[in-house]
Amino acid sequence: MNLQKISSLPLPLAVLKIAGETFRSILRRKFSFREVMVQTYEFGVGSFGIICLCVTFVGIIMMLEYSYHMKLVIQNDSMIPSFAMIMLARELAPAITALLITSKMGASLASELAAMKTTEQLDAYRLLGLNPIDLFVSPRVIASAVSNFLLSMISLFLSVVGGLFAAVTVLSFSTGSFFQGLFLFVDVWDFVLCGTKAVFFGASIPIISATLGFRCGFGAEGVGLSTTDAVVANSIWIIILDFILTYAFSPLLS
Amino acid sequence: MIAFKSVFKAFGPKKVLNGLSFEVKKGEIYFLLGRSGTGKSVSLKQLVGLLKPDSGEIFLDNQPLHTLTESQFGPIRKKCGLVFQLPALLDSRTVFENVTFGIRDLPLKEQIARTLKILKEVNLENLIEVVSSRYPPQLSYGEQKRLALARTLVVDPDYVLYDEPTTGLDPVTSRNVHKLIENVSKNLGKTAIVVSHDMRNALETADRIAVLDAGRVVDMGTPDEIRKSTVQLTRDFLADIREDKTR
Amino acid sequence: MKALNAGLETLGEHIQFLMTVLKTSFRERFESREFIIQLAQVGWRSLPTTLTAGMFTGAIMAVQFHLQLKDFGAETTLGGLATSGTLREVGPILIAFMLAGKVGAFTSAELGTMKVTDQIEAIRCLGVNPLAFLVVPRFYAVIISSILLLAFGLVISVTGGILAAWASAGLSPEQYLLMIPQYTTGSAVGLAVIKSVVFGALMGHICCANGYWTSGGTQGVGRAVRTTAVQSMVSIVLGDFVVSWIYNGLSRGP
Repeated sequence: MNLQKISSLPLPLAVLKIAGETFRSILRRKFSFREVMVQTYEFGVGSFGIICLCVTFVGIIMMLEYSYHMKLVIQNDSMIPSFAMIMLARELAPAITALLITSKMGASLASELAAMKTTEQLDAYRLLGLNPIDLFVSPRVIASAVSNFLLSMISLFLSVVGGLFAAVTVLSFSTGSFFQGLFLFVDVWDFVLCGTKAVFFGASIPIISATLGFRCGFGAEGVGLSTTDAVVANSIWIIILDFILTYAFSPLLS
Repeated sequence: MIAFKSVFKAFGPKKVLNGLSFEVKKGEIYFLLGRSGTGKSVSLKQLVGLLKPDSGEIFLDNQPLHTLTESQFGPIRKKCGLVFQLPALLDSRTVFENVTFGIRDLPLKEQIARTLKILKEVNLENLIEVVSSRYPPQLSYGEQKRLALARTLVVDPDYVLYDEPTTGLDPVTSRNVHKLIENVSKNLGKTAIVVSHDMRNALETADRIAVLDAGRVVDMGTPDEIRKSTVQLTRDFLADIREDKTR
Repeated sequence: MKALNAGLETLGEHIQFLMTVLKTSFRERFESREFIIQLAQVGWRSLPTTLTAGMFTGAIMAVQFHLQLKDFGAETTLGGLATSGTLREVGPILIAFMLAGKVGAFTSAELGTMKVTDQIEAIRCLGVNPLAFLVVPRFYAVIISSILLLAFGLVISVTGGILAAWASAGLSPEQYLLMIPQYTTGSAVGLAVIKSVVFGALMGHICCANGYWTSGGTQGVGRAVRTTAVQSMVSIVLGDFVVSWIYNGLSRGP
């Protein structure tokens, strides 16, 4: 891997290049399986609490907001849980989980690699014949995709629990009528979309973060700036990819 | 006059100053010499109130400093200028704004007059034309360090404290920096305390040198006295220079 | 239990910092020049990010609402509902997430770099209060520019919605726009404005506090950026919940 080339390419091309090398490294199984397990643990457990906290509240709010909006068009309360559930599954559960993972794990990968670059550790690895992609990027791509998938499913579940809470306490639903309404329109494709988004988001976070870490400039402000850029680039990419996937799946969804 | 009287300071379990005592007379160039991590920089920071001693007394012109609060340090900092190891300039401000940072409240005319004088003093005449169009990142590292010195001098302090002024510089530039310290101190009548581990330049520049080890002074004297010293650490520092000369 | 203790401690430190900043801003001279430099820098640099975030958020919401409404033949109301949904809930959250990276993390990286390169102590040694000179102007600049950027992003999200509705539902821009005043009430705009203000204040405080607290060299800067991103996102979700809950309670009436 040529660090200088990665720093001089425009960002999207550099990301593509790192993505290609990561893909090759994964196909050739050049990473350690142990590291994948360690990283899955880090990604999953490290962000578990925060994600749980956030998505539960998002679930509550979505339920309240949907009740407000649907009453404007359809005078039928019973469908509200289903509408809220669809929105959570298709959009908010994977997107918010991924954005939180970005700020926690994406930023830390970028700052770790950036610090390694400024202290010339990356060069040292290469002199030892080790490829930083195999060491730091490939295992995390797999770990992040897996844990993002699992976390998104947990998020979805918890946000529905939050929605149930809001429905019962504020919107005078009974638990029974909430669950009757919940699966009215929900289709298996909604879960497929949720999972697909989670895997794609998860896989792209380490690639983008690593690229920005590798591109870190020297000097005191280098590490801070590449960490910042990693958070921004990841969030923007997640929202664009989110739209692309939603649009691509829309013929399949009712 | 600056006096440290058995000052102690610890960061957690790590004791940095262990009964440090020394006295600096007005008008002299005083070197604090020692290995890394022996509390040299910590003592400078205590002098301007960035750190507080755990126990012991510090006096500046017979005024006790160890009892002052943060807000009372204002006048002390005007009297004692600290030059940091890094240039620590404000990157988003012009050269002029950086130099005049400590005298922002003076009339503009006065600010300009002082800036011109000080820039000449630190050999930055080449910047006079561009003071308000150049920014620190556009200068060389040597220029940035001299600019940082100018920023401290422009406040007109009686004492100038240098925190490792030559760390990371090549021998030729180091010598120039020491020459600059000497000239500035003599021309402007400043007292200088220099924290350093560069024995060669200390012997050439200093009026007196104190050698620190494990948070206390183990040897002290004029350069001539230091050359003849029998203290082991001082001999180790001196040995380095002799080897060079015999080569 | 330990996590809760640590959390409360952090909260306490934040409150203390906020009090100090507010006190300083009333007692000391206001650095209007630094404020304007920061406002221009932060605002201008973040425009492209905000534009992208707003555009795609609006588009995603339009596609989603279209999928949900078309079964009821209520497609014509799409413009009104998607706009209202974006303004009241999803828009502020997603755009604020992007700004947490772009504005918040950037400012804390800048302050953190100044801290670890001794610039903050140098300022203090020259007899100037670094809180008054560096932190207070950034605090207000980040708050004000975040509010303006959020509002700008929300306006842009309508454009994104129009484009997506035109592409996926075949709805003409006139049809889309005509529905907006019917369903997007003053209360939706009010909620969007309140959320912008709250999120702006949260981000301004969090980035200044973490930047100012930075220690431990360039890696410390990376850590400060990460903490800023995580804390901003979590507090945005929680703030969103609190504001929506109170607002819904008030507009529902006693």
